[in-house]
Amino acid sequence: MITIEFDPRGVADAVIPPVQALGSLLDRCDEENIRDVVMRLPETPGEDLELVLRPLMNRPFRFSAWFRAQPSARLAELFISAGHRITIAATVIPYRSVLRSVMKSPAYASGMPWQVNLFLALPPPPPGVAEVLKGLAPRAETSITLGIAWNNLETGPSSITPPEEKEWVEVLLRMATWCTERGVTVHIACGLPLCMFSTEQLGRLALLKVRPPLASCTPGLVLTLDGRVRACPRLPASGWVAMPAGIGLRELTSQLVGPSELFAGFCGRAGEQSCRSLATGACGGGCRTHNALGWHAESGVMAFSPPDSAGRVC
Amino acid sequence: MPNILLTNSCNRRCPYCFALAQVQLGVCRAAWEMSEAELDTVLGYLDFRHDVVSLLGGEPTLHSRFAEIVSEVAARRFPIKVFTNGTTPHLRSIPASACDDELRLILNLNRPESYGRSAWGEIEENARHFGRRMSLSFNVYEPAFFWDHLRDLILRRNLMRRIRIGLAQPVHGMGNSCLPEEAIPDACARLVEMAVDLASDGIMLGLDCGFRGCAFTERQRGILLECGAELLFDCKPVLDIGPDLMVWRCFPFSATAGVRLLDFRSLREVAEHFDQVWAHAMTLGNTPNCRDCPHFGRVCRGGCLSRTVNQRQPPALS
Repeated sequence: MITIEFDPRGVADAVIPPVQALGSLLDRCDEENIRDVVMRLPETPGEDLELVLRPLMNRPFRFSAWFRAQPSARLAELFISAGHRITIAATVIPYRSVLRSVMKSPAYASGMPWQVNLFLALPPPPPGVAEVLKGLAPRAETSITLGIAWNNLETGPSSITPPEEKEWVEVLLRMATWCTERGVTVHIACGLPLCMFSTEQLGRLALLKVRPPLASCTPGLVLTLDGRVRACPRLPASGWVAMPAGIGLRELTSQLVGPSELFAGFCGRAGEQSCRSLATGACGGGCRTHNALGWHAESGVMAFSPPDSAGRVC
Repeated sequence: MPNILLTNSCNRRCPYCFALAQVQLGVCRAAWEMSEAELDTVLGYLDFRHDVVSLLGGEPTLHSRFAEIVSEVAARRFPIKVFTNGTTPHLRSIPASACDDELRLILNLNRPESYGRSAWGEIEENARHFGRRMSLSFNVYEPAFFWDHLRDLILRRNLMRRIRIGLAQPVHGMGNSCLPEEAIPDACARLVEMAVDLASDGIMLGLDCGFRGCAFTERQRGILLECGAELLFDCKPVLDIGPDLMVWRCFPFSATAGVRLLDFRSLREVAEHFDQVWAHAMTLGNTPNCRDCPHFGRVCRGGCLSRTVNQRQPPALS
């Protein structure tokens, strides 16, 4: 999967992309037979963005439009009417205003499949979550991504205690149960190590409307329109590099991401060879980006140590 | 995701065969294969952005234009799954241009002793040829089953490390082999053993439709997830499209009256039709406890509808 970033963080004067730059990126995807393209749209799209995107809607891709917080009703409609998927990421949680905006949009009324990404920032459970879910649930095709957001990575707590971790998982299970009872499909956001859940909790999850994978780390190439690239949307600006010439997108992805079997840094079982979840890919070993930024497993407990001046994580 | 039956010819006689009602047509009457025009009509009901084209039979590689069909479907950008017994050389006739990331081959493997030397040789050659594009499928139809031959082929030929697990279901009036209801929990416990054992080699299981959630204990379900298994306790109209563009709810119902695809505007309408036809049976489930289960109708459908119907009143055959 390829993600095209329209509003690169760290670039002060982000502009509406020129048609040529976007077209050229899509041409590269087409040449390499890459069909799934996520478009991370700007928070405040200009009016001419619709003009740029409209001619692309019939190209042979499965687009997923990713809106940050406030979805643009017109752009959402554009994607949905062409049969593509939209995702609304309510990471920075003005839940009520997001809900109002969504319910007003023609996209919501159309009844076509769409997905709401709702990341839980725990603990404590944020207010208003139940209200948002209640509003969204009547749409049969609605799905929700439940995750745990590690906010303020650089200044976060020094560790997460086992009771806190247990509380997060229990809240996540309760939310998944709530969604299941209302016919809402649940995705679990990438980056959680599977050993956060006990075997019995996983047994409960298996009878909820939760779609696999439960604990993946699935970086995909993120391209910016000004020619930079990174391996994960979560990576901060320091993780971007200039796109090298003469290399295919698939090869570039594997170079940036590295072989997945070597990664187990955020794993409560310290990447032990015999872990059946790591071996089968049931667990991605946690989040590479969080790991790179200082979070890691310490005796089975998630802990935070900021990288030293050389960028090393203790 | 509908299944497209390319032909009712098959060179195997698997005791549990899901497609028996169609395949026996090929034995008793003239062999049939889907025409180019019929395939074009079916593809018109699909959208490459949302639908996978699943090619089945009989044995789909026995269609006289198998390679051309795969090429044509690939050229229309559809992801393709070919369900094959892997015992014919025709599988390798798929041109390289169609062998991209969107092509998957699912080889259904039975006990090794059920194959002659020549057939097993073809399986080996096809597995070698396709490698990571190919995964295995295994059907549970008897209480004792073994999986070393699956592991062996996957590791030797570097196949995709995933095995589709089907639970054989009764095809009405056909007398195919399948497990009796009371044997299913033991078979499920055996599947958990299988998942744990294969996980050590990074091989995961994917359950196909027709399993009941309560056939596993909570702990067994948890272990399956820890081993990377994809669990499915659903039963819905898959839609199998066969001769003369007739559509059945799914293979276990293919001996009952089907409908004509052209009488419907979309596959969704066809699925809704079958939901209506079987609405009452869908409220029952395989066991008497299903109706009072909080998971019934949400995540679990109480097992295969065909099994439910068969336990009560077999439907009239077409």
